[in-house]
Amino acid sequence: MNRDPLLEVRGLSVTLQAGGRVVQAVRDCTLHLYAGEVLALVGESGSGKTTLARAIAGIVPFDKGELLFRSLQFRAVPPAIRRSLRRRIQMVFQDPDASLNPMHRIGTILAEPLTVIGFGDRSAIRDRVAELLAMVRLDATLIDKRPRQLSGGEKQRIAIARALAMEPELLIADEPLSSLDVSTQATIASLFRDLQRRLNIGMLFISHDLAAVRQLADRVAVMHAGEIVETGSCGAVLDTPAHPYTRLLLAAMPDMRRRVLDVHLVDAIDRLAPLPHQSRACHYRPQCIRRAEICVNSAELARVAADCDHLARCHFRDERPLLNPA
Amino acid sequence: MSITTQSARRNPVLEVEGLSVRAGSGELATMPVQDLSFTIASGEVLGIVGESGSGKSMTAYAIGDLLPEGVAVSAGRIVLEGRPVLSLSPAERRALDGNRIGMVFQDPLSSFNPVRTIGSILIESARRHQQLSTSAARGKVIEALAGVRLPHPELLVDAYPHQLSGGQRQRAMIALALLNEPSLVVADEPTTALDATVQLRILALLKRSAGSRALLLITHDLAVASTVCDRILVMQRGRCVEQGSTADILESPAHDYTRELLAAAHWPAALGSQPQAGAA
Repeated sequence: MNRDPLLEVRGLSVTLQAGGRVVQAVRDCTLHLYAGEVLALVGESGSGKTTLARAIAGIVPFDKGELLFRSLQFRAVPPAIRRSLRRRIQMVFQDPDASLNPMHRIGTILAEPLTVIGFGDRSAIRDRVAELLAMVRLDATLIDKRPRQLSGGEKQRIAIARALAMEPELLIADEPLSSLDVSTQATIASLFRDLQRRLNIGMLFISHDLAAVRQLADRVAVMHAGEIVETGSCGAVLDTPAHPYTRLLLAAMPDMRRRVLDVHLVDAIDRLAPLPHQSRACHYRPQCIRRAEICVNSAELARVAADCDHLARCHFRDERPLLNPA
Repeated sequence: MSITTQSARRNPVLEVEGLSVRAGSGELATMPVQDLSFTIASGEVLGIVGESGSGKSMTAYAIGDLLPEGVAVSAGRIVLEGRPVLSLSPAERRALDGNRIGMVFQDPLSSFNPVRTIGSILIESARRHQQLSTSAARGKVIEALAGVRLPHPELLVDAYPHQLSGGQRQRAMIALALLNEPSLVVADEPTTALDATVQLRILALLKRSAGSRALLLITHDLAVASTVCDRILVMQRGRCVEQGSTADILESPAHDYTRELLAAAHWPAALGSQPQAGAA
């Protein structure tokens, strides 16, 4: 498709300071997201996916790289424009309890952002609040309730409605299903899908749950140790993974047909855990059966096949398993 | 080997007989668990699988004496190492809970007190149940943290829960559950909040630490259960619909509901694990 991405991230790096230590949480990350598309960001906890999302949302500063929204450089536009662009990027967090003010009624929680942007008079705001509740399939009578009177799924719907109040073009959802009951997860996932399609919103969906990713996402970016190691369509990345880490992540999914705990696989994951961060060499070299001289320099994200947007940070381009000595 | 297995069968670590749990009272009362019976021998892993609301977590809470207010066991027996626990005094029951039963939950962040270090939580438990001096307990705790393969246990002992990753917190939770050498470990959705690689490592740790103990794994995920369980019990609306060896449940499910669960858990299909065409 020949169109400009809604969001472009180019070579983004984020350094965090934690307890006197300096950690490069995100290194040289590049990705893009089109309007109306769901891009899933997957990877284990500590891989940097939340930090990358927060940098995109402007919650944490980045120290290198470029961030473009609607082809505009965030850093190059005047502050007033930047604020109005930021408003078009909204977040939904994992824990609705932490993001909804427990003292306020639902009506107040949803009206607040509308008041801030000067949506209209009281009756216009009241109508819009009712509309937002309908969008997330909640009953209009909930406006007089407080968050604690709602179930976890209902609270997450309110958090989504509040994000939608700003009419975002990009919705960043950081593990929005993780705090929910398993049966509620499925209904919230399909709600996200419906809203995103109907309103043509671009969505960055951060999740550790690969089954949910498969259900919800158009494209996937896999992060490990602060870097994006592979990106492409959901089918390409999840069915024909090219990077050794992606293969390991997928192989680690429990499989009813195997029905065994693969000790070699656990061992491979164990050895992968602490990563040397300074070295230029590919992190996966010690365990990779395809390793060669070239791997002393870590690969850039490059095309897996000639004609697609499937990219991997690996010098090799074949389908043979690259990890797991089993 | 077969002799120990048989003697273990004769002397199960945990016997649950006709367990029913009632929530609320009067006309509004519901029965989250009804007439549930199973046993777990030492060295055995039993998985209870079901959707949310099936009563699987209430079963775990009943065994661990953690039922929420207004919810109580209304019938049946829970026998741990030959002792009927429901007839114990509250003090006896408390001693048993931290000692003979280790519990692991889904979200260790909300299970650990955020203002206390990992070490102080574990040290208190070791001291209470093992009559150890503080320094002996600290040594024991560092050993336990190393036992669940946490890196730098001598530093982690002074860390707060939020300073650990999700996987590390779950390891610390397992260290706490195993600290006083329990005969039964009950793990309620222990890997639901974790990504696939961390999940696999935690399952491997649970399986390994089960050793000669009995392990009860509560999960909504049949694939997770199939990875570590010897036997599986399927629950629906508070009742057991079937139980049997993992192979029997997966290969020849007797109940429609089990077949539905199996059909829902279809993915992953790829990655060199496609079913062999024409496999017997």
